[in-house]
Amino acid sequence: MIQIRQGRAGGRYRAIFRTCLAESLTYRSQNAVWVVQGVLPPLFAIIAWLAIYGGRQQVGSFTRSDMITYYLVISVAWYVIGGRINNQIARAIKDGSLAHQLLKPYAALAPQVLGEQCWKLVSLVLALPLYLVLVLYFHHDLHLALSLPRLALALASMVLSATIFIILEVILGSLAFWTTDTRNLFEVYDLLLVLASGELAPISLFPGWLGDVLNGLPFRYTFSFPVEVFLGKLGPTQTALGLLVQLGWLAALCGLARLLWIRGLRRYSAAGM
Amino acid sequence: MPIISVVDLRKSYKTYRKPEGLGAALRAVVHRVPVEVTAVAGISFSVEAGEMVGFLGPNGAGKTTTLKMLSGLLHPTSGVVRVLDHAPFRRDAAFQRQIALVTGQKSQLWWDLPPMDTFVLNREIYDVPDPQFRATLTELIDLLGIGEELHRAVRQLSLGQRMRCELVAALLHRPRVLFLDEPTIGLDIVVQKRIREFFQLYNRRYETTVLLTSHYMDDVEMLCPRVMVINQGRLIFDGAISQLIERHAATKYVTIVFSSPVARPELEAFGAVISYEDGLSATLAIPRATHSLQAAALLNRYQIDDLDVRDPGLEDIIGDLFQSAGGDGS
Repeated sequence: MIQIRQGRAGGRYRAIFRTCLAESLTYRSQNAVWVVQGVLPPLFAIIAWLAIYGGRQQVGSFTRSDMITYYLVISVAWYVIGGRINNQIARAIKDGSLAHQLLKPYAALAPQVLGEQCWKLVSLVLALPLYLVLVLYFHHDLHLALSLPRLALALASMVLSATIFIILEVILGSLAFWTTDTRNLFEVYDLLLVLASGELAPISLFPGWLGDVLNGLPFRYTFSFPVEVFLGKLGPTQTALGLLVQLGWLAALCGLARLLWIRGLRRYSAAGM
Repeated sequence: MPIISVVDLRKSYKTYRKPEGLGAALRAVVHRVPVEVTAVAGISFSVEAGEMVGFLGPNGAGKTTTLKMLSGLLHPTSGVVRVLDHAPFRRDAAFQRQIALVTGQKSQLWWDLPPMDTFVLNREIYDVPDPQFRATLTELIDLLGIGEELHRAVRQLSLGQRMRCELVAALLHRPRVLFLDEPTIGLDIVVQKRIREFFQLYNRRYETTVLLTSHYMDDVEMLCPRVMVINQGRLIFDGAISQLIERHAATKYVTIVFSSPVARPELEAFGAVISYEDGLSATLAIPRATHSLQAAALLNRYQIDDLDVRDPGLEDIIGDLFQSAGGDGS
């Protein structure tokens, strides 16, 4: 009996995923824009860094090959880990569409969270040929000695990263229970995320106190950390410690998200419905 | 045992006063003035399985807030709500599988996809076995007269087509309790009628308990043997529609169009003034026993262009009820 229930619960989320996928396929031009947004920034970053390297072989702990790989991997990893969910959650709260989701027997934010995964999946599939071209173009510079255990660790940390990312977005989105003016807040957050998650530049390259601050924030554990593991930039101790820190952040952020959600729902007036 | 029971239910919101003017807006940044707004001010009632109950009241009376608390969207500030032996705001899956809410304001259909996609999704969400899904879908499509719109994107459908699909989406899991919040709002008369007939038939066939709010008295008059009238968060009438009409059956409404203006106090000598416009037209509620005498007296005394005598409709009665309860009757 219990087994059937679990199977059906899985079916429920699979069905939401399928419906979201069908919906995201109806917006072809938007997908094309996302592909350009995904591929262009790392390409420009790589070009800029190659100019900085000039004849040098190494900047900080990063070789030319590391740097190119870093940007290629982090931009593909964005499709797995990242997205824009906070504004969708806020919109659902403000325009009343959350109400229908709250009335159904599933996790209320499933359509937003799963919907975003569909958008990213479609965009990634469309972007893959472009990434392939980039990999072929830079293949002389790419030296990646990837062992199976390291790949497994990178994937594990990526799963944690993706979950941390979603929880952060839920926390941000839940603020719409308290204020209707969430847009500016999200813009500041998105900027912070680009700067502090390793999307702009590897965190280990930031000097002194700034590096310390960035290491102390949860954002490193969204994009940067799994890519550092993937590139073999961390020793076994640092990797293990990092995974523990990820688990710690995940627990703390889940607690905060839950608190905000419960409090927010108590204030919720289902306006707009 | 009642399927819905509500005891002394209250809901109040804390909002902040929105100041006018730049100076006041700047002060409000530092010091906000909280205002407590009471939407539902302690109501009690119960509903038996299979009943169809109409909620009536002016805008802002607390009808929708009550429906939201019954369906589990809102936390009550205080009081007890039990629906199907569940506390709705806990949002247990077992409770959610047995209810549905249809609102004319907000669609549950996926905007960019054909309605069929939402139906199939709901089949999975509510664990509807496939044979039951097929049977229910065929039946609902037939009853509501849905055709090729099943396979067109929802955003391309007319409001009437969309609303019919909305009902299918809400009923596929055969909810035992159905909350309808203005389900016919904005629809043309033909579609309104069709949807009304559908609810009548559906309720008879499945004994679904239905709570309905609507601005259209026809909806309520045709569908709901029992009505609850809410005004300013309080229940001011709960009983059979016939009882409400009977209570007012002792009066006739006399509407007069005068050739020249007549002062209101003069008219009050003939009966209660229900409406009065510039002295040129007025409606009076006059006891049935004396209405013909009074009408004759009016015709004698004033220059009258037109005089019409009728029984008060439900709309008049409700308006009357709001006025005597101190509401704005809007």
